[in-house]
Amino acid sequence: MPDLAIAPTPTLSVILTGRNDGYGGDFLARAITAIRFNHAALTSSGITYELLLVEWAPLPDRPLLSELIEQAVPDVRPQLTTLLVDAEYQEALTLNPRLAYLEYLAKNVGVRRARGRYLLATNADVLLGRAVLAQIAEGLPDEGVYRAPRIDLTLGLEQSGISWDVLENPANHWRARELRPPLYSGGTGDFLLAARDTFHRLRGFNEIYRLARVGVDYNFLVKAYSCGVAIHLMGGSVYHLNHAGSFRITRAQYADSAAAAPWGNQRWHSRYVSYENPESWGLINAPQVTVAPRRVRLIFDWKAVPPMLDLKRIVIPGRSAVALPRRTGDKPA
Amino acid sequence: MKNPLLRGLQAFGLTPVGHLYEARSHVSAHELVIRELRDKVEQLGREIAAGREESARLRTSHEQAAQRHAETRDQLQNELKESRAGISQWKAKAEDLLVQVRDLRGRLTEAERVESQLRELLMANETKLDLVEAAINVLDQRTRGEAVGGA
Repeated sequence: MPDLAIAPTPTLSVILTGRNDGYGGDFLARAITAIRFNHAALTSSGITYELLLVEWAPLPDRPLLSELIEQAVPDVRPQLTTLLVDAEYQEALTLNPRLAYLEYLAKNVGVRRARGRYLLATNADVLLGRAVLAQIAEGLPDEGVYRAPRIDLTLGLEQSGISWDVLENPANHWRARELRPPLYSGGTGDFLLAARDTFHRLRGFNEIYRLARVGVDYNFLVKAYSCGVAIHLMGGSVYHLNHAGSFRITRAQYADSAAAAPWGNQRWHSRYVSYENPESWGLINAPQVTVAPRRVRLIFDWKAVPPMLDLKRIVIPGRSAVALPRRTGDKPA
Repeated sequence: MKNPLLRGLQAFGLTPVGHLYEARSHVSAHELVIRELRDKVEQLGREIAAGREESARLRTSHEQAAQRHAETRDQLQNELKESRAGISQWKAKAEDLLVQVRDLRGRLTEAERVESQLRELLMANETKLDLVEAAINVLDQRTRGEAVGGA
């Protein structure tokens, strides 16, 4: 992305991933709502930002998600940079055929290339809360990982009229979750904010365990905590546009067949192991070509693909992030 | 004795019969008293003798009791000594046991620490095994796919 290298450093890089596959039923509509709202909120808060959208393995027979977003929210074009990742990377990297979308590898692609002072790894249907924006605008210490609890909005809520009044009205809240120290986990993938240097020092999300999507966000907190990075709770919440296909709603369907779940086995030891990504994390060695203004394609190349197995990079956390189960045979919650 | 006649008779050793009878009556009364007193003296003598016997018996009993007391005291003192020796031994044993308990607690803590580390190692190894199994499955599918495609 040579054209971006000379641009001034934004305060914030918002990293989203997705593709035009109708995930959760109405993914595009939710993404447009959230991007439009967040753009207006960030701009009015005086926060300079870039929006990195990683389109991981876009479907060849459908329009690009980024194109649809640009059409629906033209105001966001100056902030939007799209990274198109060839579908061969998904095929080459996945270790679970049922896992059709390596969400956190996609996020790492964005994290590795983001330029902001702070990086926010979030999801395309998450709206930033007022207090969170205020704290970012005021400035945060560079050291630490910042978390914000997520409030799920009522399922089927009218999206065209989303405003602060709607978001902050408890009548529109389906459920809110209290986050507890030391990790402040829970809906972690919806809001992980850290200084760019911190994200890079930790080398992003786990790229070794490519068997599951669920738990990888928690595993990042374990990694951070294990490396002595403090995890802080921000003063406000973020809001999630709830949908029928969400993990929270559909996970019960796979209670008896965890291995068949589309997000992988949720019982893997994400709370008790850590990882050391290789230097090439985030597909940094992938050849890049600019295919349109602010749209970069990562061309498939086996040289950019990390080894299928790199077992020495699965490590024990430096200090216990959470209490271990006491009896043999206990499964981690 | 205002009566001079009586004084004169008295000078010759004589006295009126009435007086004699009266005197005899007094003598009899005195003899009775004397007899009673003698009986009492005899009774007292017997009681004194019995008292002496009782005293002797009590003295003997006291001496025996004192002896028993001395023996018991000696015995108790011996037992006390033995008990004190026993207490010292138990104290020493208790101190040994305390040392052992402290040692066991330390070993338990160490065992828990090792168990915790082993558990973490086990989970890391399980995670690695998951990866190995998954990789084998992926390679297996790719190989089969290529074989079918090439056939």
